[in-house]
Amino acid sequence: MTRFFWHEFRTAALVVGGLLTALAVVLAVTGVNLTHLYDLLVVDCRSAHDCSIAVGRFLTADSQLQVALDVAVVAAPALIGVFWGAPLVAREMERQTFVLAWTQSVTRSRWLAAKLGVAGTCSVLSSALLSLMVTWWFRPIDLVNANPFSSFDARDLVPIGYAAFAFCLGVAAGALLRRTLPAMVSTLLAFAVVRVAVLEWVRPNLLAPLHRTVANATIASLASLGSARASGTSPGPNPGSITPAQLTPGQGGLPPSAWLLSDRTINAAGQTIGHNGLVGGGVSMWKVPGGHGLTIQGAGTCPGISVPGLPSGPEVQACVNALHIRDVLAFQPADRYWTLQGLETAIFLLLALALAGLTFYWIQRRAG
Amino acid sequence: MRCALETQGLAKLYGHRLALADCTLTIPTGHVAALVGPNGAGKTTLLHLAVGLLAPTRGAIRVLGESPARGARQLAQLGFVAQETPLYEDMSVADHLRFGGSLNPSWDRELAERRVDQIGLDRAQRAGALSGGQRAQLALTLAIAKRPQLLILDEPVARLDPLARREFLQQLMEAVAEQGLSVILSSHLVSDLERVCDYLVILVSSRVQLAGEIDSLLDSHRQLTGPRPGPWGLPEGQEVIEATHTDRQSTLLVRTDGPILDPNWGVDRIGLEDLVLAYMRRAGRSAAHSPMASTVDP
Amino acid sequence: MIDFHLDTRSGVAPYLQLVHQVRDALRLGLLTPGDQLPTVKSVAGRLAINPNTVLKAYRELEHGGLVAARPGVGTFVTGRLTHASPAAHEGLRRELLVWLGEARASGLDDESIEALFRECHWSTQAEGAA
Repeated sequence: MTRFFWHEFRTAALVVGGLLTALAVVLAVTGVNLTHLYDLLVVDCRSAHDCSIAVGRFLTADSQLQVALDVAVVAAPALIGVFWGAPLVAREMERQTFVLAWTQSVTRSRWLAAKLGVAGTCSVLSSALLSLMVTWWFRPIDLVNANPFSSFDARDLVPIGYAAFAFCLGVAAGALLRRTLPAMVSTLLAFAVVRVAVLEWVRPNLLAPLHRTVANATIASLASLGSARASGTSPGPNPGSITPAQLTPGQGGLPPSAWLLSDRTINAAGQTIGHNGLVGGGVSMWKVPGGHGLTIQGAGTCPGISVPGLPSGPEVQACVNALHIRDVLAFQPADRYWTLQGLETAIFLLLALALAGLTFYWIQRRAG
Repeated sequence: MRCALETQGLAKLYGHRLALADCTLTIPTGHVAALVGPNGAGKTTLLHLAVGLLAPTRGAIRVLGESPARGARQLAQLGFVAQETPLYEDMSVADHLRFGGSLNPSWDRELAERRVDQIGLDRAQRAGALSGGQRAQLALTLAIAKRPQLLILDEPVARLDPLARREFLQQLMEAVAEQGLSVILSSHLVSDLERVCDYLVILVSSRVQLAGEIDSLLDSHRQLTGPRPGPWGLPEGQEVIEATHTDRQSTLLVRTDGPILDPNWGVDRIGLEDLVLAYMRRAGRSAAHSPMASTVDP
Repeated sequence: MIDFHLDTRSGVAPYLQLVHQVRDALRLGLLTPGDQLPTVKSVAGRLAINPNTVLKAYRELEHGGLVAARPGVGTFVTGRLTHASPAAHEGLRRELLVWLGEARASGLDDESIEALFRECHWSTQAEGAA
């Protein structure tokens, strides 16, 4: 039976296989070139201690291909779910051919298992191959980018989990809705929703994030303060407002290649006074009316600073230090990359299994 | 005796819609049985229950002595051709044979190939491009080549033109003769099936109106024509199925076990089609008289 | 080999029609002992009739001692219904053809010819019975 379904599926599988082969050729050629470029530009410049120009040149190499590949890896699971998963059972229902299939000498569970086995294997294999090729191709670029979390969704293991999930989602939607087109649309929507939900709420909390409290440094340049002042004709009730100041974690902040989850600014008492370096929700730093002292909202006032005009950078920094304003960083360190990849892949594989189980259940008890 | 199909108080609800209500019937093996009834009598539902495509809401059903579980062994004993003869539109005839071969351990490849040759199907032809008659023949081939003991056909000839109909029935009868199959086929018309069936079940609104071997049914029914009688006028021991009267004359359809000797009555045999129609009309009348017959307690 | 046909509107049960056709063929000498009847499968397939009907007809013929079934081989003619020789048959047939020609020439249509034949046939039978 499996052989028959393979035979039935072979056209689709061969088309995808052909596309992957063509892509492999393109990636092999450009990839070797990219590695060469890496050796030439980046390795060379590191010895010369000035890399910005070289790295810039390197990262823009094949930039269109870079975008295309990232899109391809992210889109492939959705396409698999929509075009392989959704029609698998829905088309049989829609065209009534399930009546033919379910009255042969195999139980409908075995029938579904064979169909799922063939198309599911092709789905997982093709997404694995695509991810493998793209990950290999991007290796030099990812090395330079240095943050593996920035391309988490499009590398290594997770695309395989996404593909398995999308496929089973499509099959289940098809079995439930019994019509191909609605099944395709709802597969696409549900897949997007689940992916975004996992990205936003699940992945950051899979492992308890590490926290680090660091002293703050202001990066609010005087120029920016000045421009705010110049443009501001003092709107609002506080004529002394000078602009939000940008704070940034100081020395010993975020470890290299870590994934920053949150950045809270706290005052001496440990209360949160701002997020992501913005203090006071937009209006953060105040010149005391009358020209004496600098107030940082939520943290206190530095009376010793006499500011006839604008506070200078060092003055603001001194105030920040005096008020003991710090940053609390929550992050996932780089060495958790593989754990997170594994966990997220496992989650999607489990979801896929659950959906497959539901499909078996629906098929069993389907009446009508 | 082993029964091809046996149901007891069988009912099927779709949500709140009743498709089959309290159906009790028996069809023995070794027959080509016609399940006849008007559209909406529950024939398709009954047949789908028999092949396990549906599960009953209430009651019991046994096919070839077993409940139509979805087990592979039970499925292998049944051949089914659904009303719309669903086929995989994009698949060729040859692909369908491969489909049958790979989903049926008892597949008779030689038989399938021979039948395809006999019907004159082009193996490379897509199923979607076949004529109605060819589709039906291909569906029948799939059902027969799995070597079932019981073949169930839902309205097999309703949508075929007379020539295709004849060819289909020829192939069917040849298979029955060759393999000793039992067959149950449904139809809302009996005239097509008169020569192929030897067992009849009349089903109207889920109720069996009449069941039995066709020869003995025809032997036990007579059409009587005579002067319009008073209430005393009928010979004893006869069940009147239908009576029509003019001013002077009455025509009666009676079910009788003995000969009718009353010289006042002209006695004729009745054809199968007239017999079926009379029973359908009777069922229609009784349904109209008792409103409870059409609605069933939940 | 005999070729069966079926008239569904005749009112005669299909199996009886088959029996009659075999008997007619025996009478006319179209079938003689040793001849094989078509298999149940081929009759059922050709006429699209229930194989049980064919079986019933063959059993009836077997019962009448006209045919015998040899399991696994087929059904063979064993008896005769012809009393006159086929040659005599041929003579009668020719005479009948001549008579039919005359009947048509004198303006009788098919129905009248059949009615005339039936009437004569009945009257001779009645004489025989009397």
